Amino acid sequence: MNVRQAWYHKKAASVSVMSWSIRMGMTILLYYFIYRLRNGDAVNGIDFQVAAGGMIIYAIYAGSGYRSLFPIINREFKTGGIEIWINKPINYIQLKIAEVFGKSIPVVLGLILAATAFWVLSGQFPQVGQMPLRIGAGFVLLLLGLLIATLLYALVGISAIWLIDAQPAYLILDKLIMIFGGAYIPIGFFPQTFRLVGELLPTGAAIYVTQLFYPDFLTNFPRFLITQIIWALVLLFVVYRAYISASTKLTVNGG
Amino acid sequence: MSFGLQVLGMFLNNIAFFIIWLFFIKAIGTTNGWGVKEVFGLLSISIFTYGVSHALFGSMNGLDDNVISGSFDSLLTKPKSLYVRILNQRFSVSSLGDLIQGFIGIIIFLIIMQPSIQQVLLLALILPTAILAEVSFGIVTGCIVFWFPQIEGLGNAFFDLIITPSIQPIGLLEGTMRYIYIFVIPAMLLGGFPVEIFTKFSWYTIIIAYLVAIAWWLLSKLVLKRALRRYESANFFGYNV
Repeated sequence: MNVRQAWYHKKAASVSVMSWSIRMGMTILLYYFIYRLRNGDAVNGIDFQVAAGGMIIYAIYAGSGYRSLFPIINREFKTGGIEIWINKPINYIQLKIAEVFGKSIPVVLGLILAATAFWVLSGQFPQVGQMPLRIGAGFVLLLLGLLIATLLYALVGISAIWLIDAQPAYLILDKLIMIFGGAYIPIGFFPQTFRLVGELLPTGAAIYVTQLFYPDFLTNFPRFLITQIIWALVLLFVVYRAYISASTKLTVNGG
Repeated sequence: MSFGLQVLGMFLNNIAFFIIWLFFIKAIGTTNGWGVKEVFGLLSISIFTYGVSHALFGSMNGLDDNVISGSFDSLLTKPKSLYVRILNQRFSVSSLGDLIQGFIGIIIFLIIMQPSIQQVLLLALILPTAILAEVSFGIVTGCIVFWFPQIEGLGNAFFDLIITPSIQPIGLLEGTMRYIYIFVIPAMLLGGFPVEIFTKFSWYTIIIAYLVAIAWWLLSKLVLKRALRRYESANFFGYNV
């Protein structure tokens, strides 16, 4: 499905936006309640606005559709559906990446709109300094993070050819990104060592952007950037090798 | 290898939840009577009910695939109840890992809490409501595919509306939020209510749990019936072994 088709199915995009908004809204409400019980006191230096802001960024990030890469690649490798794509003069992985991101553009725009509405109506936008600089740095980390996440999900999808069922690997990857992205609890709640280890893993590196409003975000930015560049290069090489290897193992039965 | 990987995958997935929510409680401290023990119990019970629901009735989340691929036709041609056929069409292997892990977690929780015989029996009494509510909610969200067949995984996305809060310490919520998680999205039944047997038991909780679970079961039957009116045969030829 391309962007034009995705707009055509605007009902579908609206439902996806609604689903994401409700899910994140539920988690944010839980935190709102907890912070209210604490009389608004920050937890490990993270106040409610920063915690909610991280979750909202995670929802927008996840709405970009990179998670759909696994089920699509996994299914096409398993069912043999891939054969109708690999005889075309275009790289299969690039095609699938373009497909999922194109399809998700209306969802991302809808989520940005929902987030803006939430911040305007609730007045809970994080009050942090150097916002233009943060947004610029966050945008770089967002792009590199999406590249890492996309490569990770593509890799797990390709692994279906060896694992038969790559669902468990997908589950682990998905949960690690959710955990280190602060989908359940802000990464600032984690003990320092655990947080550092998580940030060094590719699943953590994929989602640094959710720390955009954290007090130490700009201090950590150079480290985040270097880690992302290293992981992006490593994964580009690994995915390329895995795809070549999987293609040679692929057998088209015809019919 | 695939079976082992699936069980291992779910095991690691659940361990991750235990770790992060324990970090959470450590960071915020005991809140509204919910501390480490209660959160451990909640996660164990939620994982167990998820395991039972998905191991025995795993196909409730598979309606998307059935309808989109056209294999739903094969279910319609059998004399048994369609509701039952949908539920027992598939056995989820990876959920066995959840079931076992959740069960072990519950045993550990009981050892920690040192409950009376009455509390253990009450836990056994309330667990079926958790499974019924989860399965019924799964059917309702699975039926979304009949209205939005073009959105892949939408049913699962909506099913997450009950799973996400069920592994969060929502038992500490009060007021409107608590009612929402009991009546609108019955996530409280999946872990919060069973834990409350050990913390602030009342018969009112058991009665509400049964009423809500039965209401969701009836709703799921009604939604399935309405959804079927929208289904058109795909003329799909296939077979079941």
